[in-house]
Amino acid sequence: MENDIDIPPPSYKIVLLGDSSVGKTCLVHRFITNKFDQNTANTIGAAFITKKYTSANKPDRQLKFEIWDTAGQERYRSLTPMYYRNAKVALVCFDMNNFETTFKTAKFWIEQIELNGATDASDPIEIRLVGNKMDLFDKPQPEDLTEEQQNRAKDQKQETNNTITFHRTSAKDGSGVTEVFDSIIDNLDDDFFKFYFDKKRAELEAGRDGDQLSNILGSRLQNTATSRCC
Amino acid sequence: MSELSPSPSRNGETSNHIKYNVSFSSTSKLAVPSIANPTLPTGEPTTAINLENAGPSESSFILEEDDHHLQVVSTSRHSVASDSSYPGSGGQDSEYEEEDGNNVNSSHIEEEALQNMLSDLIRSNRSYVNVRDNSLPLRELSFLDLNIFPNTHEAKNELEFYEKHIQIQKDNDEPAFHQKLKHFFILSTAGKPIFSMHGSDDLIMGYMGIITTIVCTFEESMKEDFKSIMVGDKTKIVVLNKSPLLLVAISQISYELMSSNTDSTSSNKEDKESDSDDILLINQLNTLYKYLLAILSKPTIEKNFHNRMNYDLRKVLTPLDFQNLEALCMKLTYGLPLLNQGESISDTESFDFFIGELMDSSIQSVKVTNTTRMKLNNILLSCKRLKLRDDDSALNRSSETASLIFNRTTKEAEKYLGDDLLFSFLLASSNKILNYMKPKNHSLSNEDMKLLFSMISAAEYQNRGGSFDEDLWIPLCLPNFNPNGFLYVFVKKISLSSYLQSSTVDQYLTIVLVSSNKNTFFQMRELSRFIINKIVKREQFLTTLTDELTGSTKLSILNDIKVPAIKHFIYKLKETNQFIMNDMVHFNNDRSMNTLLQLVYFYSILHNSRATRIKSKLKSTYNQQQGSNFVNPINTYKIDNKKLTYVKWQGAGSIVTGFMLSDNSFEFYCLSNEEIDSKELISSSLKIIRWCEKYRKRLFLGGGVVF
Ligand SMILES: Nc1nc2c(ncn2[C@@H]2O[C@H](COP(=O)(O)OP(=O)(O)O)[C@@H](O)[C@H]2O)c(=O)[nH]1
Ligand SMILES: [Mg+2]
Repeated sequence: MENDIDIPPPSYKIVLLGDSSVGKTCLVHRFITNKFDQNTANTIGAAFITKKYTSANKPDRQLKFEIWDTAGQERYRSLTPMYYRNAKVALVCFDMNNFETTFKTAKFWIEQIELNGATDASDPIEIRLVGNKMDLFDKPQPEDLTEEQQNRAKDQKQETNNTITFHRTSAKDGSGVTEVFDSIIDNLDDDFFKFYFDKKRAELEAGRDGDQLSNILGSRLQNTATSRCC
Repeated sequence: MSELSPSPSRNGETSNHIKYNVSFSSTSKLAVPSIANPTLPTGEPTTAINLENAGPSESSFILEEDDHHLQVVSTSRHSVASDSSYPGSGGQDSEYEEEDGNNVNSSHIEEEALQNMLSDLIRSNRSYVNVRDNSLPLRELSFLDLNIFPNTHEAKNELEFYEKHIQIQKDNDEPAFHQKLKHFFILSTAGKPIFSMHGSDDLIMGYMGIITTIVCTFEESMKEDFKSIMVGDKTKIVVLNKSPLLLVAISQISYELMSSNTDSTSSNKEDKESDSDDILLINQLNTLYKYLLAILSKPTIEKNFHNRMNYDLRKVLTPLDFQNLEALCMKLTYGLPLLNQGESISDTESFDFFIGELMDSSIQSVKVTNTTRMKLNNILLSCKRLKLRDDDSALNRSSETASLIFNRTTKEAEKYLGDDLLFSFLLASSNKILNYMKPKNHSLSNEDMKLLFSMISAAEYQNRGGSFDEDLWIPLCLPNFNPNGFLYVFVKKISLSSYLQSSTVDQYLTIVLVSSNKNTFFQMRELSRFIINKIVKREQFLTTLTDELTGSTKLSILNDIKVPAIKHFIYKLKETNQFIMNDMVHFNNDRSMNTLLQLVYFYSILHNSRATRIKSKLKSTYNQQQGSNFVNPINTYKIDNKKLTYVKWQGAGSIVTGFMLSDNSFEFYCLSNEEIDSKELISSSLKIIRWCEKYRKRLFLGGGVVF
């Protein structure tokens, strides 16, 4: 499919959920900057991060990821619906080395999404379970254990209508991180892009450029300028 | 004065200390002239000579005891008319005599009067002051030389001292725990530990017993807000009662205990007086308490404890909260940031915070031209006028994520994008305030602002370079504004240079939009994009702004107005409680921990000994002059209510002079680490003060713009 240079890539909203300290912020930073900072500060409230990203496997596909990195704490929970409202993907993260506790919280978040997302069955949030800190995972038979985790994740899948994919990552050494985002793009329907670009092109032909913020703000300002003189 | 007097035991430590700082020995001879407290030993290595210490005998000051502070009332000899000669001025002071008293300009009058007072003061103390051994070259001062802290464990160098006595240590090492100079604890009234600056949980559990015992001994009086006790004469414990929380500070730091020698002479000391003695530590505890309020809000804390007195508040605190509390402890006490092993100080945020706190919750302002500030103000103001038009389909479509919210809001007939915007700020490097916009009927206290900025710099930590596009959304309770509810803070840090073709220095601007509605993130984001667009749209304005911010952080005033001997200064405008200061790098040419701790110490002493009031006959002289037209705003000073403090630290090879001058409108503090005579000190200080007055509009943003 052809991508018009004039047309910005479609936005795609992702929310990261999960217990605090499982590595959500580090995962996002690894994805954005390809760096790992041991001393990353914990998240207060939430951070909204955007990045244009082209799939490593399908170079003709680009998305503008709009990522909500949330603080998992209870006291911020009243805000979370706002974060996953409109989200296409939820990366529900847990710590592979602290499985029981953090997986329980992960399940909690999946339930929450179900409760809230059930209203819009036509466009459910795609859930991806992310087991992070793989680099620390030095159990005797790692394959067995991750398999067990994977099975638990699959169990979870049966209980839900949303699709659940399982990922293993390490924000520290970087393994598996871009793969998560590549897979998000790769899994999209061709129709998704086709629909988007058709719509944009139609808009352009109609002489509207929906993404030119300056145009909008310009016209807004003219408004204010006229209202100011009195 | 009593607050500057050393305790005998501390003297003992001084001698220990000298072992490691041989060149330091002559310093300890410096004496506190003890007028009010003649029993005090004279051996404090640091000497504060402020007007309180002026001996009455041959001096032309009359000392009166008032409120336990000595007031200095100058006699007519200090009036301008007769200032040409000084009784007792010797040849070596001839520099003070060259003026002839024929002053037509009131700033000259003032300058001379102040000079006279100061030189008298110094002269009257001459017998106490050890003359520096001039054969020794000036050498670099170490904070260890200053005996800021009891160096009982004989640290060999600054780093070792820091690691032993200052650095936060959270392990089980009990002896190490006891070597720390400062402790903070937060516990529930039921005695459950919530936070401790040092020590592991296990270790604290044991220690809590002692704390609760102390608390229990006050049980009767715990209806009071706080309680303070001295353990021996070098440890102070202050407990702040914010039921259901108790906050405890334990300090062994000399500049925090300055006014704590409450025994002996001042037996008639009233409670009120000891209140002010403890104010420093109480303020620190209040700051920690306000942090808890900010993240939890008052009802949350109370509700949790109401259900169960035994409630463990730690359950709702995050690792970040503990880290922030630790950072606060370090900033409040030492002006130091939390440093990882081997890390050096990378910015001055923690020092700025300390100074702001010391200056009674003062907010640091950024110098820009009035035109620039007005332009930025107007940008903020226009945020409030941005209409959310019904036919705003372009915007609706522009961002899929925003569309839903915008559709919703238009349905609710919301007309303006910034309807829920309460306060907005533009900050330079996340803690210095450039612009402030507020509604007519509300404003934020300086305390709330400091809390907010402190939170923002903690949150921005992870994106320090502003290297990626990130917007923060932080729910926060601003306790002075409303202890019961949350506000929602949108934070966006932008790098100005990323919008410029050619730029050498990078300057960051932080946009802070405080909303009353938790669902308005995308509106605030839209507003921030509008603000950014307005700022970066015109390259000329952007360049000007970047240059001005760069100049402001350098604050090269000390070169501009030729006061080479003054290395560091703080000017605080009392009306709005805002201050400016130059970069600490100017003091010692570095931003090391050593320099930072020295500044913390010097300014603490200068600030905490601000007890002297000058009542001068100059006032009448000055009034007579009123007839002539004074153009310079400096002339509008009221001479009475001026206060002046002069401190000199002198040791073999190094000398530091501190000077404080204040009146109803400002406080001025400065430090020199060169030989500087009183005349130069006064005239340089007045030069800076006049400069600050002249550029007041550039230096300070006033009360903010109102929408
Ligand atoms: N070894 C290892 N540590 C990690 C990894 N990801 C994060 N961490 C550490 O886990 C802690 C919490 O990470 P953070 O991203 O703040 O977690 P969040 O609360 O989920 O955002 C930090 O100390 C990180 O250094 C990882 O992949 N491997
Ligand atoms: Mg995080």
